[in-house]
Amino acid sequence: MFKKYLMIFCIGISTIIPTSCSKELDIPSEASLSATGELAKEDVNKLLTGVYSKLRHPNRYGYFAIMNTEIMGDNYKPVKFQWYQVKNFYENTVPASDILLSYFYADYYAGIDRANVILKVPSADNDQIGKAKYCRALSYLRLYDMFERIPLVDENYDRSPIAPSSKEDVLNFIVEDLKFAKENCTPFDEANTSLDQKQPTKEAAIALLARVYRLQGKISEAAIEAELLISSAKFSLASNPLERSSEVIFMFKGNKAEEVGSWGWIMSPEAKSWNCFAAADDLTALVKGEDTRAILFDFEGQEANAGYIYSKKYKTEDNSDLLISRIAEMYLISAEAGNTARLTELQSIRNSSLTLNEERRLELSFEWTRWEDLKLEGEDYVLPYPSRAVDSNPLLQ
Amino acid sequence: MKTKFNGILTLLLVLFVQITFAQEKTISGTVTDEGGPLPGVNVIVKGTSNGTQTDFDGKYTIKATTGNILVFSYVGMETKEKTVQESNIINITLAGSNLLDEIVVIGYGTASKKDLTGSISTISTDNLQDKPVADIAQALQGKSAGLQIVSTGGRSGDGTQISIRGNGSLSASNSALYIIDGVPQESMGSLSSEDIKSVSILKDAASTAIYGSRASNGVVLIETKKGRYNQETTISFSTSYGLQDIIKTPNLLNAKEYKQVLDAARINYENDIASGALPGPKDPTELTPLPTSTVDTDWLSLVLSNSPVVQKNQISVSGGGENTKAYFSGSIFKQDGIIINDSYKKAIFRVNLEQKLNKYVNIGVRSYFSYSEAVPVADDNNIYQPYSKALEARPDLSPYDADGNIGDYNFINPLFAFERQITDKWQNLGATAYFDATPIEGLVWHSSYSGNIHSNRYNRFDAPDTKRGLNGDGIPTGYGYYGTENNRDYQIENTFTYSKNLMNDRLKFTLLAGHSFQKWEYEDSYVSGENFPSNELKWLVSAGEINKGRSYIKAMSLESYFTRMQLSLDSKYHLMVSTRYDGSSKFTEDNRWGSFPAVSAGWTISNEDFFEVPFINDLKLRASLGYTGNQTGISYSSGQNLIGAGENYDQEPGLAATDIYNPNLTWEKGEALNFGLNLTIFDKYDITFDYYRKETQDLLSRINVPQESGYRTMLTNIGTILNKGFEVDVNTTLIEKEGFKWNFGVNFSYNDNEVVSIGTEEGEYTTGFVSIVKEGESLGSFYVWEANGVANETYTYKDADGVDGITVAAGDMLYVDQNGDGQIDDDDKKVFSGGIAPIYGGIHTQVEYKGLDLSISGQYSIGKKVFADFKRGSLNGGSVGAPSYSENMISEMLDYWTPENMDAANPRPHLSSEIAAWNTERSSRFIENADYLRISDITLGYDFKSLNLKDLEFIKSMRVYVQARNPFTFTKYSGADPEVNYVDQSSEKGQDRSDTSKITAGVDLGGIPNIKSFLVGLNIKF
Repeated sequence: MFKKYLMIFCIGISTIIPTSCSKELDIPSEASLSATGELAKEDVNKLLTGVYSKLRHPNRYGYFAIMNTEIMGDNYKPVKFQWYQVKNFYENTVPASDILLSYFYADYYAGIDRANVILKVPSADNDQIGKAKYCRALSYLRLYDMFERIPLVDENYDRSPIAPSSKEDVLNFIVEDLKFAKENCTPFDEANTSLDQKQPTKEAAIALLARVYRLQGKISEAAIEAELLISSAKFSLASNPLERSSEVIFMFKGNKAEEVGSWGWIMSPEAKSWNCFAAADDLTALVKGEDTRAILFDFEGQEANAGYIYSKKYKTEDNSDLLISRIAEMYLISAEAGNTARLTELQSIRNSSLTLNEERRLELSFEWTRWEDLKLEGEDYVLPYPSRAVDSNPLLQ
Repeated sequence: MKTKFNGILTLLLVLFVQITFAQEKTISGTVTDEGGPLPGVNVIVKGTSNGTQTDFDGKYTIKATTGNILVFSYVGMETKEKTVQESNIINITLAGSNLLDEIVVIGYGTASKKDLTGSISTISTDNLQDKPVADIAQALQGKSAGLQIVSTGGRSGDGTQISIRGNGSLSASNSALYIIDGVPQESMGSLSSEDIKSVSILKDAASTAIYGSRASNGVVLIETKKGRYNQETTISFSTSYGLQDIIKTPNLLNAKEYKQVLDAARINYENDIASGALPGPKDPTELTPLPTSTVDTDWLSLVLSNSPVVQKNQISVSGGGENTKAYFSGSIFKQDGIIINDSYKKAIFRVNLEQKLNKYVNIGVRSYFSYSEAVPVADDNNIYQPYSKALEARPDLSPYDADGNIGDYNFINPLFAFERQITDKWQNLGATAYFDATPIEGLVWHSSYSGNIHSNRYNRFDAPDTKRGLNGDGIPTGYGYYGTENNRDYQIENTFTYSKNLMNDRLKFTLLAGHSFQKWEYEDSYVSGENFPSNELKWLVSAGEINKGRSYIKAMSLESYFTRMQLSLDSKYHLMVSTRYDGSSKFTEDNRWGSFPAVSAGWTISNEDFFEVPFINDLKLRASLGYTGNQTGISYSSGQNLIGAGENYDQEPGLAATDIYNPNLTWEKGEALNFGLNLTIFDKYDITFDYYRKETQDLLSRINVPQESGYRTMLTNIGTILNKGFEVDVNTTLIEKEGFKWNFGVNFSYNDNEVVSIGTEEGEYTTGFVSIVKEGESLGSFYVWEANGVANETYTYKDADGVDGITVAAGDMLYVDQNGDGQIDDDDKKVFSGGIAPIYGGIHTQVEYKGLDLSISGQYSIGKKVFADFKRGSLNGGSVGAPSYSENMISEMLDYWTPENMDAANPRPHLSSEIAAWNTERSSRFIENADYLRISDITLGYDFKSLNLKDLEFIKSMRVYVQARNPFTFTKYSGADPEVNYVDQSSEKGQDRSDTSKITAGVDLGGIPNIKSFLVGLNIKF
């Protein structure tokens, strides 16, 4: 009996001791890809998708990131500030330590980093590089709007502290990226609108280039780019501004499953117990007579909504598209350069007779351009660098 | 009658045998203790090497001669001697000896408390009985020095946070490792308090190092009851029923007072605009006065439940036959929360069985099944949390509108919280199958195979006609969400323990070697949809649109080899040496393996011949040094350079790196020294003292990287935290005579926590709302301005050269200009520590007299500070104007500054956001002394068995008791609860969960306060 158990015991020992489980310590992720392998050209498209995803919705507070310069400007009439941080933006009194502010800085750089990663992939083609550069340019433009002087990091950046560049250098950098995108991105295909409106194209680059030239004070160069798009006839002004598909040169597509697009919601009465904005009185006052853009505002609901008029430009569910460039902006830029016919064309479709400035404000409201216009008119408020960004980059002064 | 006859017969036999010769014969008998036969008792013939051990039935046989003395010894029991006389049968009952001889469960084995060299606290299971709590940790509060336990809130089923000897990590978890019946677990959720046989708390590194890379935060070892061979079956039944209440209800402004403050705020602003001191608001309609209202709503009464019930029933059966022993139990716990609708219930079943195959092998199984079902209230951090919404809701508005619907205002009506339907169900099933083989005397091969399944079903429904059932356009649609979690782990473990007494029992020797492999897998998934046809159809099968979902898996494994030697010579010199070699799947192959050695020694001076201090009965000195690790709080795939998926855009799959890969990552390393002594004086005072110094290095910490990189932080091993402190435990039986017994115990812990370095140039970083991690300071520090009262006249700050800086108007807050530059900015913030109390402990006493028992226990903290962050809202001074108006305030707000009330506690109300923000800035104004003493438990019981009633002969005991839990809290803290500590309960459990709650400790966000309860209960044993 005893021997039997001693034997079992010995067998046990001899099987257990050498049975190493160390292979069991290698558990590859089944939800992420290894970064050490080589990336194919198709992988670059997936990385580009990752860039769009970040730009469309930089973080959980993306709706503020998206609408932030509109909050700083004069297009909104606040209904409720759930967070004093949002009020700080509205009142233009943002302290450097503001937590929302820190999101707006870091998360646009996250998009820039994703674009820079693509620029380093050897298998990426020029169309892909152009799209990545467009995204980088757009991110820098958003940072420029908020902070003006910002550090410019390109694909060679090594994560060390870096000083901000001058306003001029920032705009020049953006222009260079956009010029590359203009030269190398696949042209917009009207037969494939639904795809080409949601990813950067040659035309998207041209439209943004026109906007940036205008910021640089190069209005005639801006107008040349604008006219390129108008004369291409790929885009046209829509008679119903809500059914604007023909106008859209580039937008980020909203998608409910991806839980993005709440910027429409914070501009609706449904948000009235949270951070909530209606349209400013002097903005809605620009809608006169039979202006077709009346459809973009909830005038009918004014009484039910305690006197507030809300914008209906964006859908209020988590699927609103984020407009980046529309052909209407090109008409306005061209008009500003002296092609007054373009203003007339626009106004005849919109049924309006506003001044050019008023026309810009109304037409492009909630499309991240109002703050740029106010700055061109002399607004000098610039957001402080977020203290946490300064802490980790002492050169950010 | 029969027994009497047997007795006489035996007596005659004894008389007969007594006159026979004194020659060698075989003596046999059974050794028992109060619970039944006792296996493993050493039986030796005194003065010879002739000895044996009792078998599983407590039986022995030994050759001896009449006149020899047999010595029966067993660790933890008093040794008995018996002279061999005529009888060949000697039955012995051993009694448990005093505390010092206790058997203590240590990692992978046991030790006599006398021989113990590490710092280990044991908690008497008596302390755990009759505690109807959702989390056993609540019953451990205040019971052991060095063990700090705080409640995480007053929601039903709410848990606790345990820390042992301070906090040594930044982002890694500070949770102790729970080993339940030999299996590491993430919580004690599978346990019912009555099932617990023993609890050991391993505090010093020498004791915990045998658990290697997970042992830095201490180890809580729990064994459940198993029954005993040859034991009469015992059936226990216990039941309790209680009513609960909120610990403290805040006083809020009523509608009239609310309007008074808001009007004052507006008038102050209007006056400042009129005088030119301030510009008007960007939106002038803000100045519209608050309309007068006839409504006065007490929102708290609408969300607080009236005397919610807590109940527990448990039944257990314990016993054993010749070859089988068993323990079965089942319990049901039900708790309704103090918030309406909030409820929790949990059922636990346990079966522990052991079968003796033969002399050499035992096999057994320990298993449990638990089921819990919660209807949770929204998390404290959620904007729909009804309690905090009730504190904020405007008292001048009615809860319902004219149509009887929940009023939809510019704030979230607290009643909306109750519209959501949530059920959160957990099913947990676990079992360990094991065998113990004893091929040769003294050697035990313990082999165990364990598995656990934790599965969760979470179902949420917002009916179409509810606030949250409306879509973004305000159209009723209804939303449903169904989530599952499926977590599995298994462990294969083999240990070999060899014990032998050498040199005539002078040297006790135990050697352990073992191997363990454990693997965890976590799977989760969810699906959600909308557009429900009816308020009654709640499951996604009815949803018109299924639009979101995911499934996901993550896994980790750990392999370990370990060995330990315990030596004890002459019961004077004790030594323990151990090491563990751990490999973790979390890290790269190069950083995966590490060893964790430990050594500890003890010297029982009182056993030395030269030691002759009459009043000292026992004195032992201990010293230990050990190395441990901590690998929680980081991703399971930290060792892999990955590109994350799921970065999607318009249904296209996207990829992106989401973190900076650090190939050098490894676990945190702890090094801990411990010096201690155990002392018994005057035969009744047991004193334990320990000093420790615990240093954690290579902290798993996220250091800031330039944000221009696209990342904010990078996970790395950097920095050091030092915890130093001492603990004193005093237990005494003050009186014990004539059925009267009075025990008293107190424990005291002091922990000095210091962040020695965080490895960055700045040496500090801020996080959360007010918290800072700074070299030279302790964790749980606040970084805010230093308040300097309210200005009674206009005050202008000046810089060093006397140049005017900013100006503060009369009635507004003054803050100290620390750097004297005339400005109040980030550079003027100052560190205030105390979010984690440096001094804490517990006190307990018990009186027994003729079946009556009264016990009182409590816990205290000294040096604790709370930053009452919620008061920034609750004392907002009417800072928001039309149309939404500011949230309601607490009645303290009425004492505000006016030229007539210059001694006011609060600054003047003001509507301007600039002034209001200045006056409610995070400053030392909101830091309060939160020292407290909480009587956590008063129990008065009576055992009817003591009446010796004939009718009750069939029962072993029948005790009824009344109990008050948390009845009194003595504190100066003005908030609801000095103990409350917000922990996000919704965050998933797992060893990759980053935990920074110790950094932000002491910040009161105004969560649901703790509860007190009053119960009656009954325990019967048959």
